[in-house]
Amino acid sequence: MSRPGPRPPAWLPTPTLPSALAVMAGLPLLAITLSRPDLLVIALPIGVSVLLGLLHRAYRLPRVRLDVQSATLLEGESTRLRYELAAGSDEDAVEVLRLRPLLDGWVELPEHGREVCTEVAAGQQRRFGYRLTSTRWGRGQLDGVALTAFTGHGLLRADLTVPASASLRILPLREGFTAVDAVPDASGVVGQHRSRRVGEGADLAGVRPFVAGDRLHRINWPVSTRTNQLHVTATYSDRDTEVVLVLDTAVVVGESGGRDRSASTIDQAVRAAGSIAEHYLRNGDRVGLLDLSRPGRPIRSRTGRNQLNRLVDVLLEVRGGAPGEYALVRALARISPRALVIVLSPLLSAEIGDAVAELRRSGRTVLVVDTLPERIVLPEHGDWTGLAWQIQLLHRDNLIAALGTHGVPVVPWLGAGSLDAVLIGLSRLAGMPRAVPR
Amino acid sequence: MKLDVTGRLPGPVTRLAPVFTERRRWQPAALLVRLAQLVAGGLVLLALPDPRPLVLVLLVAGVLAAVIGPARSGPAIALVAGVAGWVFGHGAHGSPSVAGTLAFALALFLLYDASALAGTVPVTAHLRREVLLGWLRRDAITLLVAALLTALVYGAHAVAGYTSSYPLQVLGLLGVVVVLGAAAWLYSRSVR
Repeated sequence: MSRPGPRPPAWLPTPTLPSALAVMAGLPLLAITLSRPDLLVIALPIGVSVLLGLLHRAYRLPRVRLDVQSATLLEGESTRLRYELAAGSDEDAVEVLRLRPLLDGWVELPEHGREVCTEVAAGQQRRFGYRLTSTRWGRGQLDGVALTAFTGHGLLRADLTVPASASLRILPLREGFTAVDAVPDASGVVGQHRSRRVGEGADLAGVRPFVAGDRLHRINWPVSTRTNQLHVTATYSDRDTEVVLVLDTAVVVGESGGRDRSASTIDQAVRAAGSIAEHYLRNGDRVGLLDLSRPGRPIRSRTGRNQLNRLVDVLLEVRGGAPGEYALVRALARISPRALVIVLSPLLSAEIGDAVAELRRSGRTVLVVDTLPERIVLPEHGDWTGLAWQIQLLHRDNLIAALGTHGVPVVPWLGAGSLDAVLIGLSRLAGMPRAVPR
Repeated sequence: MKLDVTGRLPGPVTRLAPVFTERRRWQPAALLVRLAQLVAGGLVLLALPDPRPLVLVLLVAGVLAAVIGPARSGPAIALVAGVAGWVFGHGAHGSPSVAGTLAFALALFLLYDASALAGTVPVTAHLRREVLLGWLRRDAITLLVAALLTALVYGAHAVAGYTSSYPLQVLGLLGVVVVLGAAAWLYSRSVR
């Protein structure tokens, strides 16, 4: 990650050198001219300092190595930015080495770590570190370190940029989301959700008479003894479910200020999507993602830790943007009919309302998570900004009410447990008989 | 006119020294070095015999400029003003006391040295302890060597006297040339 410069850097005099030389030359000359030894004595410490400084000056810079302890962080989490400096030969004694890491993205150093001055003596190795904090989900980048070296007791300086590259992933997984076990359509073969079908599982469905094909270990001996007829214990089968997260970033409102500061609609959506995906994947379900700003590149539903990594990588790249109407319809039509569709949207555009209603009409179970933050920082565009926003909010209320009439619940994102009541309601709804038009 | 982050015109203090805009990020160790500069400037002022108003103004302005922008011409102004104040204060052929001379020499060196260190450390940078310790170690060696040479100068003065000895004056001139030549050679010396 570091490259010691093969060539010595260009050492340039600091403003101290000319003034020191002026004192070194002027005062002794004056002392001789005026026959005043005191002037020579006054010049002595400065002259000695200059000569000793130049005699022990450095020519090469020490090797600088910079890396970060952890490449993946959660929002607001810190890692260690480690410096490793090593001076080579006896001559390389840099007295003051000023280091400024070149950081990009959502990471920052504390005030006292942004620029560090240290010393590297000849043949010495020095290691120290500073805390590097992530401020928001996304990516952080360490591009290199800007060095300013001083030698000759502050008489000479050299500037150099040492390239380094380390990228940090800052995951939007700090919300700690959990939800009830209830899902409307448990399907698949294995999983942790109780399905409505009887089969292999742990949840008791009842006791029924033995029929051919029943497994012997299912025989309920107490009931069989009491009734003089073989009975078996029936259970509900455990299945998994498919969850498709639909991310609406067509309208971006709010200022992204980092964790515990102001949030934008994208911040809310990404944090919610990350937390929901982690929860369902941890429970063995299949989770997919459709970012409507890139409708042509959906992430197909899969299970496991790799899928979580894949989803998080996509979430870190979410930038916002409106899809074309045709692309939106095509992307939504590809979603599996048995999937639980969770739409993460601030509901600020009529197009997303139409798309969600269409999804519901096609028989899919749809749930909308409202990603409009409670407090929002609006850009000032004149005297009418407040009024325009009020009108927009009225449109939004109408849209939410209209979605309600289509049987699409809209819940605000409040972290853990915020979807529980709605999921239970949707599960009950899915268990009821449905009128199907023929 | 360049506007500040709030979209307003910068105030007079901000225009005077951009360093004030970052005052919340000032670091204690870097401030300590600036304090040493101020103290050294005060000592130079105290050691001056009967300073003239112009010298006083130049010295104070130089020290303040050196504290605010040590990597600029402030330290040079303060040094020149201090030396001028010393020469004019004692007259062309004055004979100041040895103690007074040593005190002034030490104060002037402290001002020079603190300004040199301040020039390497921005006020917002974190100055690690090893830099200060190394710097003080080199200062101690410098002062030790300077003390030996001072004893040599006063010894030679007591034995021969600079006013009467022309060979000593010529030798002194040669010494100045040699020292400056040595400094130039050390500066331009290439990598071994």
